Amino acid sequence: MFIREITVAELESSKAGPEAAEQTFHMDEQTFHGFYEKTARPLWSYLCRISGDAALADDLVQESYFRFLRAQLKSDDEAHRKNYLFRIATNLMRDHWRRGPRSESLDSASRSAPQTDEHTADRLQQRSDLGRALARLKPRERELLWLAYVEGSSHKEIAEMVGLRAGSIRLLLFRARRKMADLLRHE
Amino acid sequence: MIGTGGAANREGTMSESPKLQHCEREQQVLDALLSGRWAGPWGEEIREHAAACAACSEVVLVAQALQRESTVAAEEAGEPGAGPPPAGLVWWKAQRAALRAAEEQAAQPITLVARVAQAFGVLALAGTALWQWPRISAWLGSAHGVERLHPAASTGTEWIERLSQAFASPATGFLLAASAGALLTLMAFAAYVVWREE
Repeated sequence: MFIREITVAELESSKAGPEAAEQTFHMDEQTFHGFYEKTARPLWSYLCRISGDAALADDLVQESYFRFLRAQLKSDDEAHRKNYLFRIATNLMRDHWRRGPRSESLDSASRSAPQTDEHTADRLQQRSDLGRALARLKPRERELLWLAYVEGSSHKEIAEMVGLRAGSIRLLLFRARRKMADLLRHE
Repeated sequence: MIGTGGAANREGTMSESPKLQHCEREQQVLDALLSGRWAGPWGEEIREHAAACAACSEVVLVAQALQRESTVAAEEAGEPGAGPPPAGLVWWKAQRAALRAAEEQAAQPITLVARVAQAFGVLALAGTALWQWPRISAWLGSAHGVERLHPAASTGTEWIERLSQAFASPATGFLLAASAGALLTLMAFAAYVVWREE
């Protein structure tokens, strides 16, 4: 069940008090609001630019926060929470690509095709020079570059977020950076 | 291939590997860009280094392009009707979704029991019908014969007699009891499901 399936009517008919949610979630509403204000836009930007689809980013943002709230997260460390949120979002985006009728799995795509999703590529190409460069990268490369150069995540954090070994991040990031730099120079 | 080796930098050192050339100061360069220190007077030394270092200049090229894109995306996210929904809406949706998931989880055993009961009811009926098929067949055949010969018999006292005989037979009694039991079980679960939905 996706959180976007919840209708306004259902929300209005909900008799659940805030204490019910606080028993289910690992943070209270006030803490959530503060965390959301800090992380929602960066997360949306990440999802929007990696997927090239703002509507998909909207859905994935909501679903990511729902799963984040339901997770039994013990740590109060804000950086850890943010990394965990981005990890959920990255997995959801990958699941979406796997399920999508027009796209192929990231793994097979990264082995063969230069682009995984034609529609994503088209959307990105219509944008700036950077958009065109991004569109020619593999989704995994886009993820790595964004997390490293926009979010400032360490290799260890990126490894946790994208589900790869920390040791392989450096090389993958280097290759992605070189590819992106070449594309930017030739645009 | 990035970099031309020796022209690299004064303080940093370039890896000699042709496959993976990098500079030890790449992270410093990136930190300066991310923190905003790059553009200020504190960033002068690192800017000079990056200008002379192929690896670091590549970091600058890519990081600045991505950060520009991030700024554009953040502006888009702030436009009315675009970007992430308000925190309150996401909280309430999450709350409702959690309650719905909890309800579904709680109802799982009941749904399972209801399905098992339905399956047992159907199996009991089918099994009894198979077990008593010769008797049922003979009973239906004789009833059909009576109706054909004496149409009025279907509403007469003969049927009452036949019914009382049927109840008197233990096998047919069991058949009827099993059917009634299955029916009652189904009705009880149906009533429960309706009550729960309401």
